[in-house]
Amino acid sequence: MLVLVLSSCAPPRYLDKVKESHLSQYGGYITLFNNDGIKMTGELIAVSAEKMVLYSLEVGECYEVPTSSVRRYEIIFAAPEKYGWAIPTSAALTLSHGFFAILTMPINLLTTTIVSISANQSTRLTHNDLTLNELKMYARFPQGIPEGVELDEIKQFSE
Amino acid sequence: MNIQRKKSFKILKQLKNPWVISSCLILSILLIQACQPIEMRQNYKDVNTLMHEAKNMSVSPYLKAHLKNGDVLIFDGPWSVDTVQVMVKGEAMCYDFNRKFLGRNEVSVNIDKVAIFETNSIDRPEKGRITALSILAGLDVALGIVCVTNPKACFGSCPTFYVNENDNFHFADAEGFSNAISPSMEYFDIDAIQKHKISGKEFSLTMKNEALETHCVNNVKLLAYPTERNERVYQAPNNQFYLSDKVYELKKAESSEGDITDLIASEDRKERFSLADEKNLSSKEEIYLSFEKDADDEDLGLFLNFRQTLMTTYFIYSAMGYMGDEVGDIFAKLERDGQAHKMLKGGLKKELGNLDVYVWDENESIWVLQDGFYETGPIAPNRQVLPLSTNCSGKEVKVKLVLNKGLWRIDQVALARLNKEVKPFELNPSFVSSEGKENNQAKLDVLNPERHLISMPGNQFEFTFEMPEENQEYELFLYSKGYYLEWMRSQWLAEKNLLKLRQMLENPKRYLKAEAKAYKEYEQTMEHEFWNSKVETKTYSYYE
Repeated sequence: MLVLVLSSCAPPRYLDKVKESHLSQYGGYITLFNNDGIKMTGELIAVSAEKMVLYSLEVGECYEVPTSSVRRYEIIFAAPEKYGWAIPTSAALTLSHGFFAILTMPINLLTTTIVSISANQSTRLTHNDLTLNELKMYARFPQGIPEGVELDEIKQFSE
Repeated sequence: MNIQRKKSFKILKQLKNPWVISSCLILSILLIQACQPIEMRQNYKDVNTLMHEAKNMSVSPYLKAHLKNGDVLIFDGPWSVDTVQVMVKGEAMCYDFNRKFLGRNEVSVNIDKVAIFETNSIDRPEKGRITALSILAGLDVALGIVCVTNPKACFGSCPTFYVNENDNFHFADAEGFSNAISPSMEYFDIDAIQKHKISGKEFSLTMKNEALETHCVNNVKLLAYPTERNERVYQAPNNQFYLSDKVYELKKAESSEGDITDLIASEDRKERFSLADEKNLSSKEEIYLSFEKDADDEDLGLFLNFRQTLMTTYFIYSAMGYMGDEVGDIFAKLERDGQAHKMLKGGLKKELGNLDVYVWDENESIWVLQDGFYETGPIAPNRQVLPLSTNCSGKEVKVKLVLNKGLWRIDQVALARLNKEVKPFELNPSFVSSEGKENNQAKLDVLNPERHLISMPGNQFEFTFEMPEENQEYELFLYSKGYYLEWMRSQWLAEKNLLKLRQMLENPKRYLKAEAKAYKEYEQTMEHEFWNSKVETKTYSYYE
């Protein structure tokens, strides 16, 4: 169940691992819902007081979304480390604890599950964590769309 | 309402349990470590703030310069700000606004061209989680080693008896009926619990179940013999008792490792033991002892303070493992066929042998076998005396011990002058309590030969005996009769091997050779872990 939940939240491939995320040239991966409940996802390109710009990976184009229509958002700024393997491994380890497995297995399951979930959540921030102004830092262009650059020129170049 | 109150009381009681407290503590530490967040990015619009913050960062930060034209320069090595030329300099990876890699170059960029600086100090972002998992893995492995290589450390063994109830099993005064692993194997066991001066009229002993076993105790009695200052009473392997007023210390002891006189001359918990033979677990070894005595002392006994290593424990657990999920069927068959006794006496025990005692006969110039010591159990030391049948008329007495390698731990050897055979008083418990309250049912169970007191893991019973006289020194022995049922562990189910079980029972000689390698791996860590560990056991109740 947990594996399904964790895998359903898998981040896009362009995001770097946490330990290399400070060298990433891209913006974070944002998921936002507008007031009509429509979900939009993509690389966060820029944020201003009036609008957000995101680059849809599926379509390969940039979209502008008025900030007033955004109800909530969540951004993943790096690919989280995966600790799912630790859950069955540590549970298996407690089989050698005999009677004490009654105590150690729940501790192991609880700890490794929380480690897994917390690692998965550690690179996610939501509208509760970040104001729009702070969200800028996770955009490809924290300074806003550069002068002279048109939205339809913006692509995501991957080597 | 009452039920609610009782439940709350139980929860509060549980909270006082050291296991619960330490588990909560460990869990809290692990969760705090596990949930450490990762630091966020930081942007600086002006270079002065950046320089100020960067100086305060403990880890040299990277720097991202977002240029006004949309390009980005990522300085991942040393960088500097030239305040005269108003430039940022360093080696950087350069990307265009679509993040196409333009190269890794030495760059000097005018600060005017920079729209925003981005930096952060990411210092091992997964440190907390890795620490939590490492602590958890460390604890798991440590407990795993203790439990797998040494089940006794986790589960204890047969009923253990304590004069001081707060002692742990390393200091048990006696352990009862270690061989009785099924009902038909029930027998009585007598263990010396030393000389005690009883100031009042009562003497108490605490019986604990520190194992994953069901203990069925048929009888518990105290055997007591009043002694004078220099007198001791020793138990012989055949359960006769001898009064002694003189003990001759060991003069010299030699074994394969050399002179071991100091190691076994006195009772100091420093024991001599050897490791098992790596090719054959029934290999024997010899220890040579010599004593100097008064020439006219002829009624002598060899006093030995000894116990077993964990070798026999290994065999019991291995046998259970080989039975796997058929353990119940096999034990039932052994009970029905009356084979249980035969299995124990004729099989491995016979092959491993006694701790045999030989005396050097000067007249015949040969070693003469006297008899042997044998007591199962690795926990409480046994203090017994073996009367010597060979006439030792001279001043020097030479003794040879022949024993199975890796099976015995010897703390003290001495020669005792045996004055006469004596018969101690037999005292039934006058009062039995558990959990601080009188337990009449338990008392009736141990007094009635048709009944058994059932002790479950974690149970503790205190037996109080009324002594014949106050303020008297007594040599005390514990008589306990019963059997125990070992609980099957889930991890043993995977070890099912009926052919191996058959070999163990029907061809122990071959089994002891075949099993030598596996046992040696177990032996490496077992002894160390066992004598350095102390683990509590959860309480179960048979009666509730």
